Amino acid sequence: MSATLLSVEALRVHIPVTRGVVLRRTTGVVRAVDGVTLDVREGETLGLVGESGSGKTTLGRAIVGLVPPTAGSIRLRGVEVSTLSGRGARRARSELQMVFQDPFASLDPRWPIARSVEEPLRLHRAGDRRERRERVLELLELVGLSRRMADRYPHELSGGQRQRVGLARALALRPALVVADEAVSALDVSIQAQILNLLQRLQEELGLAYLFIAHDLAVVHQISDRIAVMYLGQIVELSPGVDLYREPMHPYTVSLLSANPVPDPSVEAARERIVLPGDPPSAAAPPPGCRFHTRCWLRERLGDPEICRTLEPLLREVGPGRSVACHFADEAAASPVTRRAVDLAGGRA
Amino acid sequence: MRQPVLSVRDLVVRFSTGRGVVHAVNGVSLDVEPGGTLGLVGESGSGKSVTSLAIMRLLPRGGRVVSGQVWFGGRDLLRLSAAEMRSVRGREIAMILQDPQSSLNPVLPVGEQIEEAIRAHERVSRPAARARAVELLGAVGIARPEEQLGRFPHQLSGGMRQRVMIAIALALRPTLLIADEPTTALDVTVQAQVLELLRDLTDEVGAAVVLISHDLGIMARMAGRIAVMYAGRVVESAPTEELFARPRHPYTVGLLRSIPRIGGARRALVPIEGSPPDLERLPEGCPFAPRCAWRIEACWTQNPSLATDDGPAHLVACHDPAEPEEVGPGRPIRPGFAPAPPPGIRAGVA
Amino acid sequence: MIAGAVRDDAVPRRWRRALRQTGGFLRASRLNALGAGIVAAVVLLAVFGRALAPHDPNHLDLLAALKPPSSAHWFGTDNLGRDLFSRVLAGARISVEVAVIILGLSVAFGTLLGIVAGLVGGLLEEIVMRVTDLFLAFPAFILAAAIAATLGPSLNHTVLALAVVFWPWYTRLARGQVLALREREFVLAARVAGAGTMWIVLRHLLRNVLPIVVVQVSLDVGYAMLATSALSFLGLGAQPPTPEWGAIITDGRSFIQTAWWWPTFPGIALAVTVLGFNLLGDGLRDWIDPRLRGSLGGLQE
Repeated sequence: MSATLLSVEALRVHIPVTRGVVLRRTTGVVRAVDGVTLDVREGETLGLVGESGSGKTTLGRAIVGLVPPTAGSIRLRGVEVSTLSGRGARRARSELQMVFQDPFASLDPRWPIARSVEEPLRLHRAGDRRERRERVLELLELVGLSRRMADRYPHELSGGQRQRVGLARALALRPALVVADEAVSALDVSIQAQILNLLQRLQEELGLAYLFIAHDLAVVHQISDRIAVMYLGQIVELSPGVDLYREPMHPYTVSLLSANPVPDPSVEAARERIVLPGDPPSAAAPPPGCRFHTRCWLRERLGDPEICRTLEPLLREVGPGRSVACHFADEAAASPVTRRAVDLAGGRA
Repeated sequence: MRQPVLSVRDLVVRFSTGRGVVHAVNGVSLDVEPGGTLGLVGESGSGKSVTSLAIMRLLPRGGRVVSGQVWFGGRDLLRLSAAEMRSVRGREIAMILQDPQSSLNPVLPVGEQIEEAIRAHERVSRPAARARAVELLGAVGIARPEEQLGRFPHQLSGGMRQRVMIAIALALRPTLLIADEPTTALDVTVQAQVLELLRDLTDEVGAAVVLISHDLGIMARMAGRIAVMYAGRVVESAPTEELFARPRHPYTVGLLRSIPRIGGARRALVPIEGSPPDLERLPEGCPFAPRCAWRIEACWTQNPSLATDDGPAHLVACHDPAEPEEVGPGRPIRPGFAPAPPPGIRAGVA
Repeated sequence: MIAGAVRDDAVPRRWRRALRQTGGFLRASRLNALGAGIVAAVVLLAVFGRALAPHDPNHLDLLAALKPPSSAHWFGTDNLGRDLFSRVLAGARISVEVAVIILGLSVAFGTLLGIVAGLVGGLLEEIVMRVTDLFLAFPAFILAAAIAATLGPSLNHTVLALAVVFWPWYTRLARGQVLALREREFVLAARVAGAGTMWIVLRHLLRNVLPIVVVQVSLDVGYAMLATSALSFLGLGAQPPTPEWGAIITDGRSFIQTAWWWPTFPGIALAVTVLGFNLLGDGLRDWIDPRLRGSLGGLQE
């Protein structure tokens, strides 16, 4: 098992909601990330899956230093990075880079793309102008772009090409971990596949680790070694990818699997869906006890046990590399509902 | 086969921009059965949204229908006057769009918007329209509908807004509903709810549906027949099961092979090489040729027309369709076969 | 693919691009070309006026006083025999200089202030915006007149007064742009790469805010000239014998019935110049807008 690269412990990111202008009053707090513990190992891909409001984007941003944590720690190779400042912070941060979702907005429209890729190098004063230029051209080739595109402007490139540029920029400082925040979600399906393949190839060549954030289960499954499922600021299940989809243990994971459309009409016709009632609750006022209890199908089946409404379940290890935050994980795993959702989500391989 | 509810023939739509002409739709023909659901699948630039806007005659500035016919209710919609078309829209053909945020008026309460939609076509009193609105909100699964009437769009979640859109669309029991990426902006659990709702309600009202999406999973679930679009043309059209089981067009095969799937062993994605074509400068011949692994010489010079293949229900526009055993690997497996190079470059010449 | 060749190619490529875009702009509408033409003419006259003027603008020739336009004096003469054509030409130079200084000062100050306020936010932003609001609450011209009157009538004081009046518009404009830009991913990406606030301001935000500012400037140049002339007309600006257009008009005001050419020609010059700048500004604004949005306005399917 490879060494731990990034270690996040009990991380909380609470964003205050303010009212008023001159006298700012805090009227509430959005608990975007509320007690997350996870780790990413060297060279692996940890998938982070969740819907809107799950906090996955905020978690990614906290890790690269865009958002300051409210509590908890973020350690890179054992060294705390969330409290660093100045030059030390900059050096540590160079190992943690990010690729963003929107290919249209992630590059400065007034800069030729070579300049965007060069920016991290300039900020860290890496080499003289000629060395930097050479490195930029190398990076463009690495991500599958022609060197001749170096002086083009973003609006002359397609979405997929822009994403490649964003990736080249993220790789400029030779990071150990790249956070991919919905990096392929805004791309066409055929381009998505190209970029996913590229990400995997680069991982092999450069020994990169990824924190791959996405809402699409299938995409996450394709690229991840381990997967963490988030709901309302917390991790509800963490497993190796293969296990997660074959034997999910949290009712939310089961719902996600059930809701995920499968491109196979016979599967879709036969499926009984678990339809979660209502909308996800707000992260400013999470429900008491288990956050998922208001929409949980298992709670209904078990006759509405009180513990779900009163006690927040902790993320416990239940098997090799598998953790779940549910009072009734065993029941969830064994339920026929789960089995149906899994069989049908899997379909014919 | 019963008389189709909607029949599009050879539709051609162009956009004039400052820089040139965009050939957005290039000869699209399709049929929608009464009560059936036709899925229009394609990526950006395929022309699927423009087609639907052209049917509704809601093209943005610069867009023009150059030729073609849209037969609905015995009339060619493209030949109707503006007033006649206005009476068709909303009442006989309804449309819901991807982003409910921009489709709903942000300064009017949702109840009023539903009532407005009803009263635009039917002579009903305010209280009667209001009662209908409450009924509709209930039918789309919104709890305590009377309370929600006065709410503004920004006070509702994405899923609820989309339900309001569906309520407005189905208020007058249209014959045809066009849904353009109705769930793309929604979370997957909410998406499941909305799709379910859409299916139940359209069944109840008896409306036919044209469902536009890039997501083949949604198509597998909702569509009875699927038309795959590329560069403004329909390249393949077949009943859903048939399309997934025996795709013939290389683009369809490529799409199916490049989608990640859960379940079973992880298999490598076989992406379609290259990028979508520039609609301002479409090549002669098949628009997919530069990216196609199955191409032969004819593909570079002659644009294949949509023709039957494998039976009357399955249409393909291709000179060299994929064989069933080539679907799995996603590549042609004929010994000694190589995709034909572009004309002007012959093998042996550098 | 030779790395060196790509590098050297970049600079002429940028000029070619700029030329192509200028050509496109001029062809887009006849009004654009007209506006650009007028502005170009005015600027040229301002620069080369001194050489082109047939007479010294301040040269007195009482024998030739109040003569109508003739081949010797194209615009006629005023009551002191000064050649009005030369004076109007000199006035062009003054108007352009004055407008450049006024806008130079106010735009530089206002824009930077707006960018920093927008990016830093918090209390600083609040203070800056409230001060901006304070200035904007006054009717611009009256404020300028008040300042000029307080400081004492002179062209320099007019310039100062107008600069004070103009800067808040740019602060508000720039801050608005920054609010829209600061959460955009490319700014976040710069931060992830290690950029600090000043780097983001100078290298990213400034260039992205610039197009909107340029459009506003081209519209404001006309207004600045008009305001300067108006203040001179009121006696608060240029003092005799400075041949500023507003001053010439006010001097000739009472002679309009007997020597119609005196206030009329500088008036036409002023009107045409302002029109030229307005047309150019309008054209630029329309030109920049669709390009920012991209072709088809985002309708990709």
